[in-house]
Amino acid sequence: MADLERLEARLADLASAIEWPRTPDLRPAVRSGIVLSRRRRRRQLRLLVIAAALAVVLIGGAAAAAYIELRGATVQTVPTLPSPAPTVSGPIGSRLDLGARYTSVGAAERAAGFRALVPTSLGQPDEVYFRSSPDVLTLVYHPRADLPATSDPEVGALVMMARASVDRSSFGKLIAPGARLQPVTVNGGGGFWISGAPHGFFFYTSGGGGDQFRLASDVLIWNQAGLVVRIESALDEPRTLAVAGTMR
Amino acid sequence: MVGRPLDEIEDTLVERARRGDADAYEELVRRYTEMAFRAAYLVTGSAPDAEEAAQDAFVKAFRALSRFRAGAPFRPWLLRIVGNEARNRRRAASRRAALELRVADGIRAGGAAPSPEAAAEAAEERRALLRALVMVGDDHREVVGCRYLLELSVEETAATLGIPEGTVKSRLARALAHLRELMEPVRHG
Repeated sequence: MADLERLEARLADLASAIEWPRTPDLRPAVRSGIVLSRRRRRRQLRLLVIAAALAVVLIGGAAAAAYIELRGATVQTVPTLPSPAPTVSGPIGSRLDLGARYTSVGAAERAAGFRALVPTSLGQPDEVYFRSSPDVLTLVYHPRADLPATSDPEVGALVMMARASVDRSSFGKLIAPGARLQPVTVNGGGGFWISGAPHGFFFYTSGGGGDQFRLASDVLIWNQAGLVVRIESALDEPRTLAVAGTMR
Repeated sequence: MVGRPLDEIEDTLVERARRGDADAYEELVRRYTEMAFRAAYLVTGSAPDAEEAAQDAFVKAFRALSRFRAGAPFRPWLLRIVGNEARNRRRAASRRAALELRVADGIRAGGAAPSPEAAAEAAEERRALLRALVMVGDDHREVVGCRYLLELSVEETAATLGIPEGTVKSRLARALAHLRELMEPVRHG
C-alpha cells in the first residue's frame, strides 16, 4: 500500500512537471466550424424540404395537415378539399396543375432530365406533362374500358414520377387519420398502397404565391430506378399492382 | 463578495449555449480547450491530430447540445465526444504516433527551493517515471494519463476512453502494478 501511495504521489508530481504540447486556441476554428455546420444543415434541410414537397405532391390525397417551412416557403397539406368535386374548368393539365404539356414522352423526358417509366399494359399515355419545382413528370390516361374514370371524368389514371425516394418516414407525419399505409414491393422496389384517406390537396406558397393540386383516389407509390413513381386511378390494389408491374 | 459556484456558472453557460448563444459556447470552449486537447493528445499521440479532434469535437458538441440533458455534468459528456473523435483519428492514421511528453527541468513554482542535487534527483525520478509510462503499453498509459496527468475522474476517464467505469478501475490497478514493477530498479538503484 505504501508503494502504491508513493507511486501515486510521484505521478501527481509528474503531472505538475510535464511539458504538454502547446494548447492551441480553438475558438476561431470552432466558431467557423459551427457556421459551416449550420450552412450544411440548412442545405440538408433544403433538400429535405424539396423531398417533402415531392412526397406531398406524390402522396396527394393521403396527406394530413403538416407544415414545413424554409426561408419563407411553406409546404402545407390539409385533409379536406374546398369542395367535393372539381370546380376548375379547362384542360386536364391546368386543372390538375401538371405543368407544361409535351407532345411525347421523349420530349418530357428531355425537359425532366430523366428517363420516364411507362406502364406497358396501359400503352403510351394520352397526354404527357412536366412540372418543375418540384420536378414531376406525369402521364395521363383517359378513361377507357379497362380504365374507369376517376372523380375527374377525363382521367382514367395519373402516373406521376420524380427523382426521389420514399420510405415509411417520408409519410410518417403526412398520412391523414383513417388512411391505411400498406407496404408493398413493386418491381423489386419498396412502396406503399395508400387507401382510405380523405381527399385532400397540397398548397405550396413561396413569396405569397400558391397553387393547389386536386386528388381523388387511392394511391400506389413506390421506388423504382431512382424514381418515386405514383399511380392514381379508380383501380383496386391488385389491378393497380398489376399495372405497376409492367412499368418499363 | 461570494462568487457563484463553478458548476452553476457552467450550467448557465451550457443553458445559454443550448439556446444558440455563441458567446456562451465560446466561453465553454475557452474553459475546456486545454483539457480536450490534452485528452485527445493522450489518445492520438499527435499534436496536430489532437488539435483537429478537439476542434471537431467542440463543433459536434455544439450541434448535439439539444440532446444534452439539462443539469448533467458537461465535462464527461464533452470528453466522450472528444474521445470518439480522437480514436477515429487514431484508427484513420492506422498506427498510433509515439507519445512525446517531456518533463520540465526547472524547479517547479510553489515549493521550497531544493538543493541542486535534490532538484536533479527529482528531475531524474520524473524522467524515469515518464519512461516507464511509455513502456506500459497504450491502454495502461491512457488510463494512467487520464487519471493522474489530466486528473480526470473515473467517469470522465471512462467517457474519454470509451470504456466502462469498472474497466477503468481494473485497468488502472493493473497499470499501476506494472509501473511499480518497472520502477523497482530505479527505486532501489
